Amino acid sequence: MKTTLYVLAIVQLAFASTSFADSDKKQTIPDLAMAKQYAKAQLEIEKIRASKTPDWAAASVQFELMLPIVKYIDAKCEMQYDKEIRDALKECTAGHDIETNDEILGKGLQHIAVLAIRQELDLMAADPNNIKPCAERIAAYFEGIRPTFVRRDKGFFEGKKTLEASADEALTQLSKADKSSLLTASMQLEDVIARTYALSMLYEISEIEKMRSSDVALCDGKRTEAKMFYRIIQQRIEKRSPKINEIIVNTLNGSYDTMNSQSLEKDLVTALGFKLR
Amino acid sequence: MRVSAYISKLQWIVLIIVLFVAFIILKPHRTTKADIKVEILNISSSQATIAWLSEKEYKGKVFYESAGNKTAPLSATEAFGNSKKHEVTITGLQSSTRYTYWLDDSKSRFQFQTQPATSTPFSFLIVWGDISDRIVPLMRSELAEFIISLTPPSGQNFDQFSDVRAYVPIYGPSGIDSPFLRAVTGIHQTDSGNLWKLDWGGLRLIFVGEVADTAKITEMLNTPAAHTIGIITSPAMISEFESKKISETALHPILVAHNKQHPAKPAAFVAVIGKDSNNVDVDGVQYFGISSDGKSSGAIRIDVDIESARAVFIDENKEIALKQPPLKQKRTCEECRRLADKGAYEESIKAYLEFIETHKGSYQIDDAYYAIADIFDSKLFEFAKALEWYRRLLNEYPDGTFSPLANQRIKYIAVYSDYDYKPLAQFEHIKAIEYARKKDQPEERSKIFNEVKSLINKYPDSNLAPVMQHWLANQYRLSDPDKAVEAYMALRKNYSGHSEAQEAMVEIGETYYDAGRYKEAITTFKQALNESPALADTIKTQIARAQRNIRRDKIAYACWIVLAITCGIAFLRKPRSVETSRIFWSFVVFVITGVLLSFGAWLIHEQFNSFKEMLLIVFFFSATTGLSTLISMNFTDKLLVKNNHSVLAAVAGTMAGIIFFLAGIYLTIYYVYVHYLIVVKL
Repeated sequence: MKTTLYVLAIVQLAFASTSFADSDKKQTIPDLAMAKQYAKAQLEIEKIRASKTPDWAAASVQFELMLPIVKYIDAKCEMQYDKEIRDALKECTAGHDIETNDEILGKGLQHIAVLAIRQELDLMAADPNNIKPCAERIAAYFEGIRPTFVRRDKGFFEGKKTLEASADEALTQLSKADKSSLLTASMQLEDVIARTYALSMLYEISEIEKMRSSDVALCDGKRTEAKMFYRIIQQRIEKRSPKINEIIVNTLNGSYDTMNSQSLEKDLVTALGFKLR
Repeated sequence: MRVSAYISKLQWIVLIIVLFVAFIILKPHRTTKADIKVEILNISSSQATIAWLSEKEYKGKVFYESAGNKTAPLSATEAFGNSKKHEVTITGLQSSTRYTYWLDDSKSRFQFQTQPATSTPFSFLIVWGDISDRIVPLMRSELAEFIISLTPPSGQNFDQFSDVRAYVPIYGPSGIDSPFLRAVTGIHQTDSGNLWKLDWGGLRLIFVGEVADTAKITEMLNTPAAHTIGIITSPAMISEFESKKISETALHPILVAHNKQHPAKPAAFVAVIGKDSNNVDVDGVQYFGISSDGKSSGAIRIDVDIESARAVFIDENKEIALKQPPLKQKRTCEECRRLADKGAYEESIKAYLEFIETHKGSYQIDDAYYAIADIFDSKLFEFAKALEWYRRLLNEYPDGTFSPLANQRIKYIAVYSDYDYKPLAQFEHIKAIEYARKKDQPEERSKIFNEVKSLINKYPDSNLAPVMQHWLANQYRLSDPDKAVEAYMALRKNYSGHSEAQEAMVEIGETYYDAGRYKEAITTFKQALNESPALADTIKTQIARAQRNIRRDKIAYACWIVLAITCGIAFLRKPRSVETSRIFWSFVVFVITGVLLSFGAWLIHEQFNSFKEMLLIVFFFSATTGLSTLISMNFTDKLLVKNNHSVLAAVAGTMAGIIFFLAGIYLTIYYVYVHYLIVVKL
């Protein structure tokens, strides 16, 4: 009898520890409050980065608030943004290669937001009951990247709310979606995100075209920015056309003098399957 | 008793009826016959056919617009009269374009994409088994333009594609898979009779059944438009994945004969349904199996491009190349690259030339061409030779991935080719070699700048002159603001109208800002605002920052004055003695505050730029607190002596201490790390 009891106890302990380990590995889906906090902190960091003499200490404070989402995405998408961004912040604080590390910070946070949005879209597709809460979280994440849409509207559409309005419409459709219309709304959102970040990459390349003869140091930062923007859409382009992906990667890694935004735009349109502007 | 027995039986009957009704109402709704929803029946590059069934008769109408473009929607109405079976064909569409559409006054929006042009890449899915829970995520992630389902419709208890039919056409091994057509015609699937073809963009897919006529297969292989041909067949045609056995099948010789005659439009792959997922290349045709055994589910994405095609087994994380560019493999010369990295450029070029000689025609070596061109260009500054190699690259590998870069570099060198590349060669040499090595030595740097000035004076009319002038101004900015301003002004004066000079005033303003000369910066920025209204937002932000910095400096002066006044009143006004006990207590406050702040600072130490900064802030905050306590006590004491109003004296003393404290804190932050002031919006 005693032996039986001991065996049962050991088995129970084993199950308990396994389930504890499993629960430890499970990634809790971030809630709406965390998503809002992420977006708010992201906007604060954007303000800090935009200042002439950025306040890296304040940026680090804000980054700590974003950690739950950063770690969630790192685990889900096998990224290492927690380490990358911390390292970038340390380098910025120490004054090393600020042009480059500042962009890793800013664009890395945007990539995380986009990945978080994709995770939410996957959850929506998996279970229609998730549609409403996921749509709310997506809307929250979007607020953190909205300034990019506004900037691209300013740069490419003379300030007309083209990208921002498309994104808002997609978000509205998502919030009202049911099982049958979910695909439309999610494709709309993914398309406008791809379009915005493709235009963002083009913008940086065109800036390099302007500065490559006079300010190579600034070009380094622009190159990092362009690479980070491309990271956000690379998977989609690589799926569609590995060759175009290779051309873009060669261009981003190559000499500044070989960069041509018009040629890149044609390649992006071919690879994405829709016009950018 | 009898009555109560009857009542009891009645209660049981009522209970059973209620449970039965509840079961009928609440049981999960899964129809054996699929609900008929909107579906895409057919798509080409310029038209799309949408079909659906309705309960009432009416003339169906579809509204559509290009996705992402907010224009007035167009509409298409079905050709026939009122009906419950609706087919609407939309024409006049553009290829490879996504459209949003909706029916009549429905609020549900759907999308479809027209077929791509033959040269445009695209993807499609082959799926099998029950993928109902995955089909929507698959559509989202894999961006398929159509789906081939290997599970026959009769094998499905419900329509697992109901959520995606409104977006893409679905095909099966025997033809189009359409619930609408099944409902309309009463047959399970269109039967295209063992052999049928699907043309999509540059791909022709031929579905070969068990008893297909081989003569007709040959006919179907001849396609003027497609650049890639794929076959989907069954184990009846290809029973074993072994080269010899495949060669002996009826199908293989047909494909080989076709490929010999039409190498630019090869039959690239054969997918065998029902075989294990092996693959083998036989005479340039890739055979691979799809293990759709009815027990499991799975998905393959096929990517088709003009030069290449691949099959990605999504669940197995495996990829098979179905078609590769003419020179299949890329080869690079690692040793050649190492020589270039070490600086042995001439040796590296020789090594690359040998490499090209030995590998030409067998492997893709466009990066060797590019490497040679790049060495001549950016290392040896021999631009004529660089141009020669860039052009060779474009001629021999026009579709290579380095061609766009070569193109761009040719254009760039051409712009600055005046004076036989002499200014370009000298300037690039200065930038890349001399300046890169000596920029941290002030004397050498100055010599280099003078060299550039001489170069500008020697070639004032060259296309490169404004570029050099701009570069010079930018480099001066890092070390000598006045010379930088002078150089920017020269750029404006001598090359006004040139793109390099467009933002010169803004750059002068930024030079003054970086030098801490905020008033001059504001004046310059205001002038730039008039000249460059397009940059108004940027300039106004800069002006605001300069004004903020001036404000900070003024506050700092004011704080010093406040400190001086409070200290003066607290210590110099009679009576001038300071009690030892007060000094002691102030010291105690200093220590306690220091300990508490040190603990707090240690908890958030990552927020500080350095340990020294943390220490300075803790020390001066604590010192300010201690001193403000002493000042507060002395202030109170002096007022008491003078006025004898204890409450008033205490309040005034406390206020003086607080004012001293605030001024001290401000000055600490101002001198240790001024940007923390952003936290309090200063």
